[in-house]
Amino acid sequence: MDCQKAQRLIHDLGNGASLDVQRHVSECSDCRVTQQRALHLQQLLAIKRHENPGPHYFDNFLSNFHNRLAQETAPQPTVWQRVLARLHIEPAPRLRYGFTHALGVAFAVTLMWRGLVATDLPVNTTRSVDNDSLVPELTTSGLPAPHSTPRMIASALPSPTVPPASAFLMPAAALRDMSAPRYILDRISLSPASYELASIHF
Amino acid sequence: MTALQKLAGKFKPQTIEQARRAEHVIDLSQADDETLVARVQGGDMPAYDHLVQRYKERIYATVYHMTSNHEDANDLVQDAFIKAYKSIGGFKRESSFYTWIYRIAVNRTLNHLKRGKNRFHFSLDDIDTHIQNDPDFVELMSHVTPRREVGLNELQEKLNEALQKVSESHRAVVVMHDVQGMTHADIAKTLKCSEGTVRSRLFYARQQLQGILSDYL
Repeated sequence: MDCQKAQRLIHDLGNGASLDVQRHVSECSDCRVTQQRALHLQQLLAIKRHENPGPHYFDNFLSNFHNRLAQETAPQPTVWQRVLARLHIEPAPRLRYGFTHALGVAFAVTLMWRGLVATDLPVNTTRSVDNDSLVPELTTSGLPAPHSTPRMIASALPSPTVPPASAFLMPAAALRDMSAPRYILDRISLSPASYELASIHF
Repeated sequence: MTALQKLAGKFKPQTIEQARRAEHVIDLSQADDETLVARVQGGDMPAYDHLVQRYKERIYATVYHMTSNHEDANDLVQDAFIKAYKSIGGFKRESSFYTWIYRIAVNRTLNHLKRGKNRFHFSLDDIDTHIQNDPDFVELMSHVTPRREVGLNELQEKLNEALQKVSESHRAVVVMHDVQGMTHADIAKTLKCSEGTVRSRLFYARQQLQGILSDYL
């Protein structure tokens, strides 16, 4: 048996080494020293078996364990609670409602402001056929898109004062006839209107 | 009805309840691990308390020898019990509860040490008086070497320092084999590696420790 193998077996088996190993150790001084040192190391390590933390060390172990378990199984704080905790702000519920209200008001003001800006026409803008920016988008059904503002819709509708393009090709008399009102109220009756059935005389 | 009867009637239910509780406690403390685990899996927390009480010191010893620090050892043992409690529903009882919790504790300790989070100051435990009767210790102190001149506390400190110089995985094997007295097979099961790996780690760890502690051997 060579020394390398013998030393491995000494470490593996300790005092219970086989006869072959014991024979080799009795003949080889190097391996004998190795065996002695291995034995001493094990004896030194045995000191650790007798280390004790003290008689009352574990008195609170169970209660500490319960506390930690309760902490770990407790519901986790929300993002809002974590932010407030980091900022060291105490009256969290009141602030939360206040913040929500402020956010709501800001949102409403923004909506109103955007609405006013959208409905406001530029001062020098004249209504014309070429003003594409004011023409609302039409849906497939021909109706204005829902996001069109009332002013945009109004500008897109054909103006009663502007004659159609074909009117320029018509004679002036015909054009006058077309622009004239079709129905004329001849007279205005001053007598009140009666909804009673007229008496029928046979 | 006399005043005494009234008093007896008033206290009777409480006495019965106390007796039932006492009976419950006695039963649980005498119950084996499988019964306790089954009860915990059914939601019985006091049964888990008994398991904690039963194994905390043994697990603490292993973790302490690996970390050489009380605070770390205490935190890690509690972590291990909390982790085991949370996942006890999935415990299939293929191994004993002790093997299972021991494996959890050792793995958590190894992870903790690998992250380098352990506190680098040693807690020197009290050494119990039984050491004077330990044949290993008696033989160790009987040798004619410088060991005779060093105190027990110094030996303990040097030993802890030497153990901290060995890598985590090698240290775990030395602690489990040479300090705790576990077999190669049990260590292999705990660390989920082969027995050959355990033997190899043990050999190299001892070689390293012999080099560090050459003045005391």
